[in-house]
Amino acid sequence: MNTEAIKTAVSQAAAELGVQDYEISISTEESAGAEALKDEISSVTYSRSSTMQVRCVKGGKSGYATSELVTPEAAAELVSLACDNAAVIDDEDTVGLFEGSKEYTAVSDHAEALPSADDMKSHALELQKMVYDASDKIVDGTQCAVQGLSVSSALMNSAGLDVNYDCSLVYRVVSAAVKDGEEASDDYRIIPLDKEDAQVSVDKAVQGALSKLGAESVDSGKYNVIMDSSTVRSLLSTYADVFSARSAYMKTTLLAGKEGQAVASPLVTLVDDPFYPEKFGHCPFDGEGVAVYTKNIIEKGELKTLLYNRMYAKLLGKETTGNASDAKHIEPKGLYVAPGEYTAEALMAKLGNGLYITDLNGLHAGANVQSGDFSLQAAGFLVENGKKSRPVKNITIADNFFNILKKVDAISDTVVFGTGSDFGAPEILFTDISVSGK
Amino acid sequence: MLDKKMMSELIAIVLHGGADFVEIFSEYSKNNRISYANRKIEFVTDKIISGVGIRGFVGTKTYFACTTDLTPSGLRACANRVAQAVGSPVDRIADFCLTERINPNIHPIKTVPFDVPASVRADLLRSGCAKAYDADEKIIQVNGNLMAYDKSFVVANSEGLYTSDRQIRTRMSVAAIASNGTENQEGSSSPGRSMGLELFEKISPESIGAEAARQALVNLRAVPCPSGLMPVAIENGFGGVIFHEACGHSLEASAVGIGMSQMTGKLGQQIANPKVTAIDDGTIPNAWGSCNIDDEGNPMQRRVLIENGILKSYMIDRLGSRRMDMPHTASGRRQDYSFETTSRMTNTFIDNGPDKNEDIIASIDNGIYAAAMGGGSVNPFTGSFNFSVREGYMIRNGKICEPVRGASLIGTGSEVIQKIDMVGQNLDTAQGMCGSSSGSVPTDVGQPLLRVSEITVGGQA
Repeated sequence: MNTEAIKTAVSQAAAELGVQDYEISISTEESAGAEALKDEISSVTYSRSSTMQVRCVKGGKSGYATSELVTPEAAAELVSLACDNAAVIDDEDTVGLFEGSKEYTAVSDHAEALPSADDMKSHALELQKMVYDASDKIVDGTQCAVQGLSVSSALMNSAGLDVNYDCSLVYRVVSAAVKDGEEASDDYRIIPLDKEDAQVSVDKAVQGALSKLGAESVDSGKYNVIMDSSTVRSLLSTYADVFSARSAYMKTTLLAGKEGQAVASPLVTLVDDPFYPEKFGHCPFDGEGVAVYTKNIIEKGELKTLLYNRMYAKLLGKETTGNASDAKHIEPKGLYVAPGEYTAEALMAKLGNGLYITDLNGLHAGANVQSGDFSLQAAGFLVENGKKSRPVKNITIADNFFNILKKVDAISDTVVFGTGSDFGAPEILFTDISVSGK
Repeated sequence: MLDKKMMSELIAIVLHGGADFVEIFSEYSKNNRISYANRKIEFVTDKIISGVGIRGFVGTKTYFACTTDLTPSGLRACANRVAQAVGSPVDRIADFCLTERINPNIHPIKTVPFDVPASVRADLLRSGCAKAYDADEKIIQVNGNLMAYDKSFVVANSEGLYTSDRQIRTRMSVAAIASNGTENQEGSSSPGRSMGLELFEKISPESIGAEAARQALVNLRAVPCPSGLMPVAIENGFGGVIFHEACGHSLEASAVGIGMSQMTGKLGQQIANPKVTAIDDGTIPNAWGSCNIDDEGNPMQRRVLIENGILKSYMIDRLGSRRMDMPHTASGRRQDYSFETTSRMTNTFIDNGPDKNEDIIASIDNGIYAAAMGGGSVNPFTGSFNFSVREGYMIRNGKICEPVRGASLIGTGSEVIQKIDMVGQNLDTAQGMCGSSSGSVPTDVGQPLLRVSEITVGGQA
């Protein structure tokens, strides 16, 4: 791929159509993986793909077109498509292209070569053997894998912006399927290779699956509930749009107009930190090329700011917070709930009696971002006298996202980011949550 | 897209690497999305998807690589990746000859969306969304999308197959948000078909917007749904998501073939109430989940999965066929060339049954009428599934009463399929995008009104 040739092709095609302002983004992704089933490698994969997007500002409007063919000929076609699309939209582009920030945070991320197929195959087989060795309840269908991902992106425009970034990640996927008679359960762990010892990953996945055996429902009612880090992250990611200025402008978030007001328990501080060390990827610029930075969205319960890109900052009289996913859309860059003071044990002791939730399912359908209402299939453990007693399944937990922000009673002291995710969380104790079971 | 000569060369490279079967999938697709929000067309974008996926088998082991670099050297490098991963080079002469097979087109297209100016298509979306705003002043926001998909691919394999398909789909989705100042509630409608813009001769854009607004307004006056075990009557159309999640995924070879499904080994057994007959049919003309051929090049089939409660068939792709030692059922599907094909549903529905719809409602003393369902998910290994209710009502003493909101239904597939004890007579289907390991593919779900005798309902009350 020749970036200079693409720039030239776009520039020429734009000039021919009378377009002065254009932007090109090019991303390339390479991924590879090996997966084991029973005692052999069942699948080896490799993928290399590139995507190019062209934005043209014509008649005061921005049109877009994207192609996986990254060639000068395709670039010229995209200019034409983008101009056609610009002619259809009603929205004026009031902010135009961004010429670049004065300064970008220096980051040490870079893309490393992915491991060889042989290395990935042997580690996947090693993991698979370790899982089978860990328990005689492991059944066929258990699959372990090693996956690698390397991404690079570049953003350039006719206003002088020219920024790029690359990074890579290699991680293991340990899944454990167990059966005890007819009863089945499973669990998995996805973690970067260099983050923990393979045996630790295997033990966590296998123990996770075994600990769910014998699970039953609980009586329906109101419970105090600890949600583990993964389930809090799931909720944060599902409801991330409620913190977007676009949603506020569209009146589709109940946080619209509430900057400066209390919206959560004073225990809650919600941070957007693009450079959080444990997070994968620390791209120093957003989808418009604006330098990203760390900010508190909620501070001790008070909504300090929503997340802005340039367009909605202008419409709402604010400054961009460097949260553009593109010129129209907004996303957090490293959203997490700040840690509290409780160790995991102390949090469990504070709960006393209630539920410890480790699984939430159906978030794509059972959580309504407009209303905040959610009703989600859940599983976890019954907690009695501050200790996990028995596993629980076939329950739902239901409440409202905006309400549970106010129902936070205690927060653990350790934030965990999901592997490859932009969301992090500690464990959180919520009071008075509706649980449907028996 | 690649010609026969290049396809043959790539197949030979992987055969020489030691694979016993090789498949090349070459795709060029164009997608267009027009987006509406805040009373404006705010975004229009085209996306060109272009690449090649190469897969080799050795028994039940698979080796896959894909690339967007379509230069001869880029393609050879991709094939060599697969050959090296297979890693047992052989000297044998590749013995195959690609012979083109032309497939009859059973999904005729009248108006290809890309042949119509985007401004005309944008006007269709405008009229749908405007109708939602017109419904009531409580409708404060309307979001809409008009999607056009034009997917073309050629698939060739070392058995000599060389065939192609072009799949055109059109879908409009409108989401309306109703507010009373303190609460927001949503309604939506998203019909689509394997057809062009003639879709809107059958379903007007205005009816889509009106339906979204009606549902949002119902939800705005709905009260929180109660929790607990209760009988539920699930309406037709997207109600069929109950079968899709509770049973359909567990009948896919991707789960059955490796023993990760509750349905493994149950062919011929009574797994559901005798009133339940379930079908997966990829041949319905112009239906959302239909194709002429699957992504492995096999002509689509109609399969009876469950007949009068007895499990008759799984949904099997080529790899599943090898794992299970059973014929494939033309169920191999993938989102695009970058995903490895696996077994997927097409248009999957519970057929009409013996019960009158009014008897189903009348039979429930205290339960829920789920008039419209949302999406769901399932773990096929444990059978544990969930799905959400988008529009629900209480049933008391056999009568439909006040609307309720925020409900989800959960259970275990093998149990709930037994508890479908009344099946009505108004079969209809609705459109969804189904996500799995081979990506997101269009599927229809469907059923007539039916009763589940007892299921866990999760609500806030």
